[in-house]
Amino acid sequence: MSEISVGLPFAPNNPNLTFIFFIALTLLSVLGLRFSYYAYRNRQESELVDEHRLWEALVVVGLFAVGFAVLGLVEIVTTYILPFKGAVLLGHVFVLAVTMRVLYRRIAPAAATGYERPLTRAAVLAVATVLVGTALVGRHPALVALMGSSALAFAAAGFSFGRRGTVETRVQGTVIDTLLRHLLPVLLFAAMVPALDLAELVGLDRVVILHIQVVFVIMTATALMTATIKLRQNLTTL
Amino acid sequence: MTSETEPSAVIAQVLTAAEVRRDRVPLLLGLFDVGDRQVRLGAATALCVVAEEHPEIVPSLVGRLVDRADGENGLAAGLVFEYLAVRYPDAVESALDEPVRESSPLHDHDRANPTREDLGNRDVGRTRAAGSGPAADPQQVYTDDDDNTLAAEPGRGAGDDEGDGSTIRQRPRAADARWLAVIEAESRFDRLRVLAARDPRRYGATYRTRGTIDETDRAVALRLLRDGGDDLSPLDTRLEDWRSVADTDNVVTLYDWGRRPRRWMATEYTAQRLADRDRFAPSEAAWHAEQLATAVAAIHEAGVVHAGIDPQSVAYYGNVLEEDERQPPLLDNVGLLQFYRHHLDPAELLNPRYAAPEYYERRYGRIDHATDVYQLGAVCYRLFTGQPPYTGGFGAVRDAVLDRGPPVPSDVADVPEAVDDIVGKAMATGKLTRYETAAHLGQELRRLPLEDSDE
Repeated sequence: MSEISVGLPFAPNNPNLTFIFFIALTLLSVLGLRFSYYAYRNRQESELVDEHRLWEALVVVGLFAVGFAVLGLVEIVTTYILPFKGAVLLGHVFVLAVTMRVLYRRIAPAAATGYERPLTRAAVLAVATVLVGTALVGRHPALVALMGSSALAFAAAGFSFGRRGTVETRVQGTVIDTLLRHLLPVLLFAAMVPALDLAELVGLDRVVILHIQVVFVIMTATALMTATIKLRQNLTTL
Repeated sequence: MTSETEPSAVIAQVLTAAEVRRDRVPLLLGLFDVGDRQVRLGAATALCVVAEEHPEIVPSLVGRLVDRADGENGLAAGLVFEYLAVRYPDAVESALDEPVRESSPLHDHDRANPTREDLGNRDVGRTRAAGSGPAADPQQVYTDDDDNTLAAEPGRGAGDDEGDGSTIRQRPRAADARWLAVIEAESRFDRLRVLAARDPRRYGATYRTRGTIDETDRAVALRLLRDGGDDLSPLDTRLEDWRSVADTDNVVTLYDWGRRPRRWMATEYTAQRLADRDRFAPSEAAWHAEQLATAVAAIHEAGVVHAGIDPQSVAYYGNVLEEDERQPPLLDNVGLLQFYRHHLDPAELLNPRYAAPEYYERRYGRIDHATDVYQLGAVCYRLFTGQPPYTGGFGAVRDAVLDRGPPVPSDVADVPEAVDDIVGKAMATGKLTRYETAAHLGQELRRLPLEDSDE
């Protein structure tokens, strides 16, 4: 009987942490898939064209989360090393930030400000760079730095749109308000996972970082679960 | 009195004769008035025997029995009626149905005021253009002043105190009460007495009655509901829903309902509608709006959707002693539109100027609690401004609802900006940007910074 090699690349020489990651990533993959499914159902059921972009963005948000979780699980149950999974999570954070902007613009319709478009392009470029870079050269410190700082920037931008939305009088008490409030924690928790890698650059032990990251993975999954409830409720009104 | 007309002889003759004569009926009916109890019961039995021998007299006999059922000696007539209702249900039902199908208004003011006539027909909640007469399309007859014309309607309002005989404008015709015995027998009321003639209202003819349960009198609006197809079980479900929330504050109490002689329901009596009232002072408007929002939130918590909130569905008891006394607004017709919109044009039962976008186009989603929020917002607009949110014909209203976005109360009335925000959020075209719950709408109404400077 051949031996089965599991997860040591994910959490080096730490079976307990590997097991916790396995649980967390399984949770994230299932809840992310569920989130995507209900976002997709909303997209299919909604006949209002101007809502389609929102639902499509939310479908992608869920799929990025699933992608990150599945790549992590592959790392755990095989001996493959997939360092670009961090870029997928970065993509998840980026699309969430975009979703926040879409939601905010539904209440405060305005043309994109002068700096929004170049910043969006820069963000896409950053995600692509991290994805390609980590796939080619692995966790190079420069790429880790780019990934962590990008995640923080996306979170800040998304949080800014979210907060501006939730304090708008025209938003308070509406479905948009609830969606913003449900998605803000997802954004912040998810952004913390790649952002914590920055601590590795200043010398913090990787195992310690992984211990903290797994907590944020679980919190991202549970925040997605509560956001899914809102999507289900909205589906019944369509 | 000859032996031929001796009460006991007449009764004995009918009960023992080999061939029962139908011309004995007037005589036997007359015995209900002159005889003692034994005679009355004997006459009742004899009448049943005559009806058995001559079933063709049942319809006319029913009418005459109902006329007597309301009198002092109505018990015997009631016994005969019960017997006939069991033996010849179809004949009795058709006889009772006859007056209900009459369409001519009975109130003096109904004849004088075309607006009230409209309420019972296709233009509920709206006013025809002066001199235009009935329009072929009920959705093309709106004027800009809408239901304010109802405020000046005579004979309605604070003076309509329930139970005061002097306020009854016109006694009901005897024919109007023919169906009453059937309803009385079917309902939980020990006794029902019609106090005023038929008032054609949105969901059917309404009779102001006094209902007695366990020696306790209640002011009851007895409504003969409009036809809604053959399958009435969905309507039963809606009425069950209404009854489940009938104890909620600011919701009209539904006492009972039934199917014979036709679909009817008994609710507590209300004399006024919001459509009958003028603009309120801002603080007063906020109070009314908040009361309604709380009521809507409560019925939503119970899983009930009203679906037809507009100024005609907001009722007031109308029995205040002082002009400035606060009357709580009451949600009426709870959930009825959820049934009737599948059978009738919703524009007949809901003022289109208060209707949510989802009533106009399917793409705005289902009719659900968010629909109530929208229409509550439209009623808020009416409360604060005294005007409907949109004006013009059906096409213009439809375009405005779908394309122009929520109206702004401060454009037409002196109200705080916060009212604009509240109405704007409640009447948002898309559900995503609408208040998620009526409770939140109520909270924001409570927080309105209002002073009655203009009053």
